[in-house]
Amino acid sequence: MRIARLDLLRYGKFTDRSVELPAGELDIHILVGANEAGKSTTRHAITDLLYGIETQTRYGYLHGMPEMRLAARIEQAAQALEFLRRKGNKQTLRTLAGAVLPDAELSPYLGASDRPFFERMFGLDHARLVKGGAELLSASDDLGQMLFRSAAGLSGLGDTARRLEDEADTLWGPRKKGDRAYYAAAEAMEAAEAELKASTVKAKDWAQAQADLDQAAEAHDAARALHAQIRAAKRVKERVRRSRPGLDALQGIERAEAALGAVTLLPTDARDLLAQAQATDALCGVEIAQHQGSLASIAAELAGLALDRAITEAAAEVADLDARRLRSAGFPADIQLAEGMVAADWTRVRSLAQQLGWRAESEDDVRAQLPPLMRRARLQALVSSHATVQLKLEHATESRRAKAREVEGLQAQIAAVPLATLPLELTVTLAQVQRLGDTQATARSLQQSVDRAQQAEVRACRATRLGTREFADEAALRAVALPSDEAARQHLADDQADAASERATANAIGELVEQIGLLELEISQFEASHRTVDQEAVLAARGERDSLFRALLDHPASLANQAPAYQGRVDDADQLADLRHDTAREASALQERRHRLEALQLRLQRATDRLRSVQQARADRARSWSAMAAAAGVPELPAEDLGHWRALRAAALETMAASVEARHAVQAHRQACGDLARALAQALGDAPGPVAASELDLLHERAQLLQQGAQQAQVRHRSLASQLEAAQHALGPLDEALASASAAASAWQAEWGQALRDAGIDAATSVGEVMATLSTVESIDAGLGSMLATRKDRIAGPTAELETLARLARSLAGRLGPELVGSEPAEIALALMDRLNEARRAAAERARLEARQRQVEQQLGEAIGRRDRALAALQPLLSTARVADLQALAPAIERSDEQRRLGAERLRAEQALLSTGDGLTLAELRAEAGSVDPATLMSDLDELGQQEGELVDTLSRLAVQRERAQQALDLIGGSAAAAIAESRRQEALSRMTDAVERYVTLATSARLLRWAIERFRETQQGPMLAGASRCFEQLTGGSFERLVVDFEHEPPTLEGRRADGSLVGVAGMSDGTRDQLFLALRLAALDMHLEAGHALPFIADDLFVNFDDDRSRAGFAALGALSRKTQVIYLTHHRHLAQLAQQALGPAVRVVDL
Amino acid sequence: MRFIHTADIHLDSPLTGLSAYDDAPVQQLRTATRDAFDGLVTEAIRAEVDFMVIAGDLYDGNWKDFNTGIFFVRQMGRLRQAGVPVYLLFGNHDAESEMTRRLVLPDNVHCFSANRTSTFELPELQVALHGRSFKHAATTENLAVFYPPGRPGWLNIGVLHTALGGHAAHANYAPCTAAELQALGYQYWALGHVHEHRVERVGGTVLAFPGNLQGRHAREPGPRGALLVTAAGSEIQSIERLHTDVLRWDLVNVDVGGASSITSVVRAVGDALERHLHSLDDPLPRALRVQLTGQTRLHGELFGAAARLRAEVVAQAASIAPERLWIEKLRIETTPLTSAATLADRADAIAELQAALLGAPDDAGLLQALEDELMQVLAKVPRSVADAVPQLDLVRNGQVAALVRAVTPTLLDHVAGTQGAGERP
Repeated sequence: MRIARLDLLRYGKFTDRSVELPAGELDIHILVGANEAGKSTTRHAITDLLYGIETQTRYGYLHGMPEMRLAARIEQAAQALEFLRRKGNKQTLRTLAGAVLPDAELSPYLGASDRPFFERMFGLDHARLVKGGAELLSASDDLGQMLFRSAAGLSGLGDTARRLEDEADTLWGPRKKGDRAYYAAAEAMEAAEAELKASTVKAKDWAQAQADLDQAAEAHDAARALHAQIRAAKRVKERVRRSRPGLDALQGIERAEAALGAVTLLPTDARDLLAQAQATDALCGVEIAQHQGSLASIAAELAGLALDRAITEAAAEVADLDARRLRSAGFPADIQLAEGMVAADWTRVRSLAQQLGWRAESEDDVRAQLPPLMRRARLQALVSSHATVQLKLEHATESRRAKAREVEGLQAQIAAVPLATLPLELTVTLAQVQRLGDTQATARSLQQSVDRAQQAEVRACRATRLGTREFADEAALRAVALPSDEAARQHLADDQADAASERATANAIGELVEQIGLLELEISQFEASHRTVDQEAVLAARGERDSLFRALLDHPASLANQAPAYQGRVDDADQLADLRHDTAREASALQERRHRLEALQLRLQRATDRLRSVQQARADRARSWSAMAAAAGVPELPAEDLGHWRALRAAALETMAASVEARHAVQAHRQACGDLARALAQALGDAPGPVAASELDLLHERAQLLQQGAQQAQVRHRSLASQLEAAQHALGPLDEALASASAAASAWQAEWGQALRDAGIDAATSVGEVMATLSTVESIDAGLGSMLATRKDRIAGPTAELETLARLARSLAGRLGPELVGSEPAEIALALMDRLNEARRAAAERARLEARQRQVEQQLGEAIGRRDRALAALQPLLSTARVADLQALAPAIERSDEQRRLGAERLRAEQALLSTGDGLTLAELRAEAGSVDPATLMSDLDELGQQEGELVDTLSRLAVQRERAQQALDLIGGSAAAAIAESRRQEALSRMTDAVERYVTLATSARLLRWAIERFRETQQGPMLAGASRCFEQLTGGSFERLVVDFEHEPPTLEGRRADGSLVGVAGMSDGTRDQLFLALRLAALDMHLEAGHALPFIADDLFVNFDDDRSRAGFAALGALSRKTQVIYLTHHRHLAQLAQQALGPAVRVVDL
Repeated sequence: MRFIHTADIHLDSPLTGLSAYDDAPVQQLRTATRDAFDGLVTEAIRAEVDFMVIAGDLYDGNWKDFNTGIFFVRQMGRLRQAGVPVYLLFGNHDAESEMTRRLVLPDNVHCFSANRTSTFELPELQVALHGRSFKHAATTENLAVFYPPGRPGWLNIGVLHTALGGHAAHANYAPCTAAELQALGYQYWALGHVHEHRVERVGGTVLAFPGNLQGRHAREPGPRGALLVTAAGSEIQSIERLHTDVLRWDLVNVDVGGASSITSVVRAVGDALERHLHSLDDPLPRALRVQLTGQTRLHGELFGAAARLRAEVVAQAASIAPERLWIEKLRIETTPLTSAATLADRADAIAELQAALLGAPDDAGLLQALEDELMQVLAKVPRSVADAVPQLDLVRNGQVAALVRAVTPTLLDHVAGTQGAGERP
């Protein structure tokens, strides 16, 4: 397949761009475009065109995804297809008119290829070339890999195998490694197994644990009972020992109470109340004396203070006067400075006025001579527009002059160009030749069509081969008299019917056999489980009985001996008869099963017969068909293939017809070329004589040169005339512009004169002088303004402020301090302010003393009150104790407290005895103490303590034993630990299984891949290396004469052989040479593919960007050779590469600018 | 009158085929069979059933831990307190178990003898239970022939551990036929041994397998549990399934034919998991086998990215419902987009590789080397692991060529797939 035209309608940066790629002697096309010209876009467009625009394309940025469109005309042999490709998920293939085309429409052109295959096999770019070269180096020890990589762009086969091996190695290996998944899981499994073993409790363990617990509990209970007895005895002795001191102490207290006699009880806090009242009385006496002293001192200070009321009442006016003093302190100096500035301004104004020749005796003189503002503004405006008016006038004048010179020049060129005409016959014939197109390319194309048609014919004929018989010509094919379709259909239908019948019968037989087996089993089981008695058995028993009876009748003497035997026979017969009666139902059921068995066996026999019959019929039919096919001349043709073979024959006959038609087309084209060559020679005026068809191109070239010369002269003349007309037309507007500029200049001049006169300036004064005068006048005006502003703002205001200050100071001095009237206003203000501050300080001191006086008087009253209350509180105690004063109260309180202390001590002693008396009363305790001999008490206690200590040890030991036994049993209390451990074990096993399963697949895949690479090396190296050798020699400009394989190296390696016989390994080659080696291998692989596979355009993207010119030419020569087998599209942004291609391959190379 | 019929409890037998990982709901599922049985006892108490029938395989045959028996005794104690008697028949697994012989059961548990067919009568309910336990694990005789005729007018329940005429997944123990069971005139046959739930009526007789109480591996999918049977007099009125399992096994099929990248495959699996989760009408956790199917150009790439893919799928499950989803296995069952015939037509290097690989099964040297390598695996790994890997079966049976044939299409697609975009011009 080849692309004849590529339409980039709406794709990437392109809009309605069409690239023609016509077939030629060499089908190679160089597409040249600068960077950003759309080279990469074109490359992707070709792939998208053929296999659909990718979903995630980046070429929709200009037109938007839904609007993306590509179109093309593609050709294959005599077929062609014009189609449009749109972006979308379905129905993306359309006719140019927009009608939907099925995707299958492209199948004949694309063969079995898909996008990845096309990109891998039929595409190569510079980056891939360099990468391929580098990979050759990394695979240089493995020829198989190297060839495979090169064969169709497949790379990294070794890497793929290695990745598979690496992953497999992480999963499993014969040796244990910690990081291998299998062994990690195996370790987890071992841990789980250990846990399982530890957690598992066997039945006998449980029984033992139960017995241990029972035994320990029994021993522990016995020891505990004995311990309780000893503890009881010990408790009595301990209580006596404990209560005896308490009982003695209680007796002592009772004696002391009796000795104290009758006592009046006072409150418990009587002693504290007395002490507190005495202390308060003493403290308050001291405090009252201190407060009285303080009040006398404050009254003396108040008497010594005096107040200045007059100055206090005028406080606001004094403060205002002082504020004015502060604000106007700097005014005199400022006024002096401002008067200096006014004088300086006047000096500058007077000088400027004198420069203009004005009178300058006073400010009023100067102000009277200033020109009015309006006149100054008018002059200023005229000065500003002067330059613009002048510039416009100059530009208009120069433009008019230049255009006049251009008109003259063009008139001279037109006069110098000659005009010529061509004969009409020549023009007509030339048009006919051009319509014929590239005659040689057409001839080659037609010849290729003939070749392809013949190849198709051969293939179609081969396809009709039947067994050993071939049909090489049309006559032999047409001579075959095939059996009718009807006969074949009938044969197949009959056979299928019989086959179905055969299968059904076989299935039925299978089912019958199974049913028979099941029934036989049922009968045998029934017989085993039910004892049945049939009629024959009963009759036989009765027969035996009757024959013995007959014998007895014959020999009555034996009756005595044979009677028991006879009775036995009678019993047997009766028993069997009864049993038969009892089991009649089972016997009937058994018989029914046997009948069913017989029926099934009969059906089986019939089915077997039917199967044999059907098989025989099928064999007979097959023989019959063979005989009919042999009679028709195609004995090997099965009936089911008849239709297919009939189609193959039709196709073969069709290709034969196409082949004849292609040969006729070649002949017709040759005839047309000869006729046109003769007509062209005559039109060119050649001498009459025979003209060959092959001269057509030469004659065409001459005629084209003549035609081109005439056409170029005409085009040049038309162009100059057109330019002259345009220039003459442009003169009019230029004249108008010049007149307009001149008028504007005149108007300005008139207005200028009038303005000078109005301003009183000499009419001869230049524009520059007027500008200087106006500037000086502006300076004088500004100076006068500044003088006025200084006088107003900085002199008049401060002077008034100073006068107000003096007036106010004198007024206040008259009222408050007459001695100050003659002083400066500032001094008056300062003196009055000092007096005011002093009066304020005296008033504050008085207020503080009065507050202090009130506070001390209050504290004095409080101290007197406290002393009175303390003495009143003792009054109830005195009356209770019946004493008159404080001295007699103290002894009474002493006796009362002693009485209370003894009572509390007795209560505590009794409570202590009761609390440690284990619930016994005091009487019982006294009685218990009396019953124990104090002399043996301690020795008894020691003995009991020793016995108890031994028992406690025993109890403790037995409790531990019992606890351990209980724990051991509790561990078997239904714990799920073992189940959980087993669960973990299963999880680990699962991980081990996963690892092994994946490992087996990976290891098998890796080994297979290695094996396949080796096979490829063995089978493909011959033809592929031969092709690559030739190409490599060409690409290296003869630097290497061929490629050889070093079989002595294991694995074998590839080497290049130089002309002098020296060998260079891949590792020894330069980077560029390795790239060329990779290219040679790729082109050789592609060449091999094209021998048998479907041809598609080969897209080369700037492959030679790093090649020198010689090697680039060699590269193009190699691509040129490839272009004889399939279309080659070479994309580049180096224009000189296009020239190199033409140097290498001649003008047949077509160069297209993108 | 109501009773519970259960069987094939296999107490403390583990869930198999699951690999633990960080986000899997491991802890709550390691005691699944216990939890299921505990749930059943709770349900029996709640429903106030009149009695419970256990039709064999209470324990796992080779399970030795006596704790399991203690656990069972405790559960029986709960039923005893609730006044529920239990009729226990031992199956093939129980016959192997030492616990069957040594464990002392509470007095509400009545065991069927293994020496003769015994009948327990409940006069107040007019129910007779007939049964015979397995004496040996491999009991291949027909026990049904020893069962007595039904007591007229009573509800007769036959308790039997049997394959009932054979079942593909279970040994053909105590074989018998439905007709034989029907002939005994019982109203209900409480059967055990077959792990799939199955109830059929043959004439006036109900033959019921409750299925096992808890699915334990991927070959036991769907809900599991016991049967709650309601009867009036001697007539069976209804049979209701009680789902007591605490984890279920499901298969999630994801067609990735339309996926364009591994990422989109992962996303498709995530969507499928989410859909599956939403389709469930119960809150139980799931052990999921995720199976990728469909014809896809990613076939070879998926093969190469199996480990990463599993990690991503596990992460998806964790992100959706970590407490409910446990990825048991990720099976890549996709097929290549390009058929072998199309590949051959292209006549490129992949086609050459295919042609070479097609000859591999006939290369004795290759097969021998491969067999030697894989036999090392067989020699090293435990039998249970080897049995679980189907490819090793081929190696064991000398069918390495079949293994090679099975691997070839995926390998081809993988090699073609590793020629990524970087290779394109």
